[in-house]
Amino acid sequence: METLTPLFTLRGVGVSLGGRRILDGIDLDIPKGRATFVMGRSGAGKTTLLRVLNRLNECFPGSETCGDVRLHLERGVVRPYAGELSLPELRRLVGMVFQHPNVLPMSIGKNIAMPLTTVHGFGRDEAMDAVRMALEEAQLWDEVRDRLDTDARTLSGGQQQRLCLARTLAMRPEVLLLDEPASSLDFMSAKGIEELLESLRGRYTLVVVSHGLEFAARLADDIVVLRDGRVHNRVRDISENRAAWLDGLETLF
Amino acid sequence: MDQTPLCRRNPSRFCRQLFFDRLVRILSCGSGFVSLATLAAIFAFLAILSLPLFTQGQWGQILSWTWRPYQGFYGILPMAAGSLALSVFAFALAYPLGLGVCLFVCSPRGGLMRRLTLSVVTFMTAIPTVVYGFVSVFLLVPLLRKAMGGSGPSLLAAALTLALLILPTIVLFLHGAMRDTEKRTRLTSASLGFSPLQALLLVVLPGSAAGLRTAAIMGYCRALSDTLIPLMLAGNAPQFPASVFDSVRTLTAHIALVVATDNSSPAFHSLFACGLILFGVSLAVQAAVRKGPSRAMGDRRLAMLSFLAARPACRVLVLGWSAVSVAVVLGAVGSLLAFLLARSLPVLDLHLFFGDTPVLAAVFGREPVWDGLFAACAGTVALVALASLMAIPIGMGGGIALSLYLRGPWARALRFSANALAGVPSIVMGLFGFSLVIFLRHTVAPEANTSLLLSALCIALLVLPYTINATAQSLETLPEELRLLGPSLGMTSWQSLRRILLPAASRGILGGVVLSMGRAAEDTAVILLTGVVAQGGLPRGLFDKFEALPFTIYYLAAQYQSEHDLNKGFGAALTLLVLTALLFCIARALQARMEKEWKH
Amino acid sequence: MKRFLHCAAAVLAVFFLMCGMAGADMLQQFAGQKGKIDIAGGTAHIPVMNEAAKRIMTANPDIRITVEGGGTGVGVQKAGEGLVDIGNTGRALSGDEVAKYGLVSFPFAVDGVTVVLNPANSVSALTSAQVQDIFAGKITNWKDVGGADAAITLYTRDEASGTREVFWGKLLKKGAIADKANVVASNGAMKVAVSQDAQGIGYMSIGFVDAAVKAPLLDGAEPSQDNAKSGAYKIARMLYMNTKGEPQGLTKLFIDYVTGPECTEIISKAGYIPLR
Repeated sequence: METLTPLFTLRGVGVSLGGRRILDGIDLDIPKGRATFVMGRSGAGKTTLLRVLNRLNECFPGSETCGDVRLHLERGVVRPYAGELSLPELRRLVGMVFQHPNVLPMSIGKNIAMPLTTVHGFGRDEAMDAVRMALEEAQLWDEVRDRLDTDARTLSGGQQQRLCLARTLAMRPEVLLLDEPASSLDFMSAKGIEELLESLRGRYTLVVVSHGLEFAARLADDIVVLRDGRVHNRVRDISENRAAWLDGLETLF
Repeated sequence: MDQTPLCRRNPSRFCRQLFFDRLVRILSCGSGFVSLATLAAIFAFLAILSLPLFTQGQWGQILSWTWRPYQGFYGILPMAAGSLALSVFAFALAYPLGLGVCLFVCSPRGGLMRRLTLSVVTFMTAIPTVVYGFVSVFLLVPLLRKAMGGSGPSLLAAALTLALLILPTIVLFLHGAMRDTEKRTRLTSASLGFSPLQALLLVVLPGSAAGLRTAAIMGYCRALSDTLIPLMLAGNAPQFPASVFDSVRTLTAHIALVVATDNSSPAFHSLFACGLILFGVSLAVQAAVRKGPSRAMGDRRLAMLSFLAARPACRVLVLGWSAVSVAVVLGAVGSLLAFLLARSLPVLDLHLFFGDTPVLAAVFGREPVWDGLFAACAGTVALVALASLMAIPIGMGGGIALSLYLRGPWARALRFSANALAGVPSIVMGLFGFSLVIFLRHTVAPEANTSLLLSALCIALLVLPYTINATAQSLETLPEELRLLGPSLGMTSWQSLRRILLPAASRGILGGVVLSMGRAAEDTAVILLTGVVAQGGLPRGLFDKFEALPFTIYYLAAQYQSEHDLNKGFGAALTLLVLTALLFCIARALQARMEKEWKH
Repeated sequence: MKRFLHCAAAVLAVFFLMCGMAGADMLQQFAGQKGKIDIAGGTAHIPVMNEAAKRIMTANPDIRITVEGGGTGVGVQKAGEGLVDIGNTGRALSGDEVAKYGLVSFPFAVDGVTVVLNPANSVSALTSAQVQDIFAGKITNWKDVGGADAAITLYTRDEASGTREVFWGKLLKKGAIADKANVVASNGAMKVAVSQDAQGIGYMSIGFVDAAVKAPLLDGAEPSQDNAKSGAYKIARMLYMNTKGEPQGLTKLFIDYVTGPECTEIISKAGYIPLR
């Protein structure tokens, strides 16, 4: 088995929220360029673990994170929690898509362009190119190319979620955190999102929280199963024998 | 694909963003602490200036039932009793009415009437206190005198007017909370088979328990802290009220009446004790209601509501009450406005504003205006502009700091200070301003004087908590995923705020700003002590004394010397009303434009 | 007779001419001046102050004069603290006040303080003893003093009022004023309050008395400014302007103007007897 370059290494990471322990003693490597699935029952701390990676837990009052998190970048290893990387910088490297599509109350085009112009200082044309690229990458371009100026809230749920994905992709992150991206969608839309994610696999490091076993078995390289805030089980390289894993996955929980 | 992370491509830009973010953070936290510092300063002034009462052993004298300073009796208990009686009475009248109106406004029936009621109630916030007082002096008091005999100015007259005054505060807070809950739970209740009224009683009301409480706090504090209504309508006799027809004096009116005494006399110091009492009571009320039974509604009240909802007769009762409340409120406001218009429109002309001075010469300040309202209008506009200039940025900064940047004890301290400051009666703020000037004169700035600047400062501090709370509340009610979106995209907190959160929260924030500007325009108690004059012409600078419409109205209501003066009073009342209504509309228009901008 | 009329006419003509000249002189002194005068205090003074300010500011718009009421207490406090240039009082300053603040007084008019009733009240004469009892709360019904059977409503002024001090000191002989008395904040407000309340009784400057209220005979004397000046009506006082230290510049000009010959007409018109 080849040794994979890790992107994130977590050692002894714990998170408490308002005095309640959500995560405890997490040791985890997230390899670069691969799809890591975080699974587990509701309340196991999956979303919190995801938010450890982009320090989004800190948006909640009373949250505390301990332990060591390292991010391996081309320029070297940085520890985001030790202030070696500013929050916005970290979050620009680590893009995130939420469970519910949260489009902004503005046009489709602006939903993608606004963060670009705001964060990266894109000019109008540069932003429009990026919008197009991102929408193509999210396989939404053909559906919305004629109505970039309409309100994004008129899109269907699946389209909205793909728009959110496009918005995150447009920021050119290194890592994509996906928090049950398909769970609030209907079957067809969910399938569309899953297919889209498959197309992204290999191009980005993906960290996905998901309940879909089949989806995990199809897409995941590694699987981390959480239980009560701890790593309960860990499977690497399931891509070798996906079919077999699909049967065995249930036993992991 | 270009593999260099975008954010590293332009480091100087990124540094700028970070610097700006930090700057905004510091500024907003700094402005947050303005309210904390103000509160501390007010408390310090009240405490220090009432201290001689303790050191000279006059405390026992203060806590007595007789106020006869000319005979050496400085008891303030009658005033405390008056304040309590009046505020409780007014609140007991207004809260059920407010609830009734709100049930009507929130029910899905009666589209046009509902919208009309809501806009009338919203409009009531634009009616200045002094106009309520003015109209009551000429409409309600003669009516009461005719109906019940007695002298006219009484606890009853003041309580009725005060109830009308605090009603919109209660209704709007309630409605805000209930509308949100209703939206959230509409489908759930429908699916459970509730009728709209049942949904209101069983789902929306219990779900808005926090809103009910906030409405109660805000309403009661407003009643307790008002100065003008009791000053104009309660008769001001320093006695314990034995009946509702008795004349009473509240602590607030007491301060306004007595402030003009020798700075070293016990009477003067006792005012600060009054201030301390008002301060303490409003703190206690807020603490008690806030800390009350956690978030949800108590079982007993729930049981009562389900009792009401289950029985048709009770439902009819509830509907009836809400109809009665709407009728009472619309009737009262309608007659108030009708009376005001009927008396003021016939006398409204250029002469009323400019007297005999040519209009252009007056507007450009070349000739002073005699016998006209022009200077008062100009003074009020200058005052509101100046106060808003100070209060809005600081208040918004504080609100932002509260919801975004501050955590733990600092956030609690700021929240506490904002709430406490909101409860500080405006007359206490005026007293603070006045003693501040005395203090400055005796220490660092011997030239300090009551002036436009001082008034604007005090009024800005007075309306600061409204802006802080409105900003913080609006930001905090945004959905979690919207709040996380900016950070997840790598925006700095300022970018997220500017691009995502503020536009989304603009309605609520502007609502608070509307309220606060309206209050700035109408407040009389503060300027009464900090630099307003009955005659003075246009202010020529920040350090001039000034005329103001609300004071002119208050002044003329009590002491018009001729029919012309009376007409001037009515004209001024209408003008102030139009001015505040105009402010209101401007803010609304701004709000609509901002929303439109945000949508495209 | 004819000669007398001629003489009188000549005297009058000369008088008016002088007045006119003097007036022009007085106002001319303000020419070229700039600045502001802040005035506060006694409410009885306000009509005089307003009219004087109006004339001065009309003659010279560069001068700004603000007039504020508040009562005698405000006048003492604000002038004493230096918050205003002139503090008006409706009574002589006490020794303490002079000593504490270094105030200098400039009386300009004589004014009586009278009991006032609603014009609808049938009572038209009261004795000092009756007034004392009424204000002490011992007499509570108008029928006890010869009026209708109706409860008496008391109106008094706040403690900052000079009018109150004069009334309390000279008529009530420093006796009690019942706590139940409604309190109003100025002479003007007293007039309004009593004029609206058929059972009301209050007291105020004679200068403010007009058809809206009725001033009953007091111990048989008619409360009028002439009687106040002659001494036939006892409850009288002077109206003062006060400055902290000797007045300077504009303030001095203003005080000279108000105490000067031209202002006598303003003072008389306001209902007071000019001292000059």
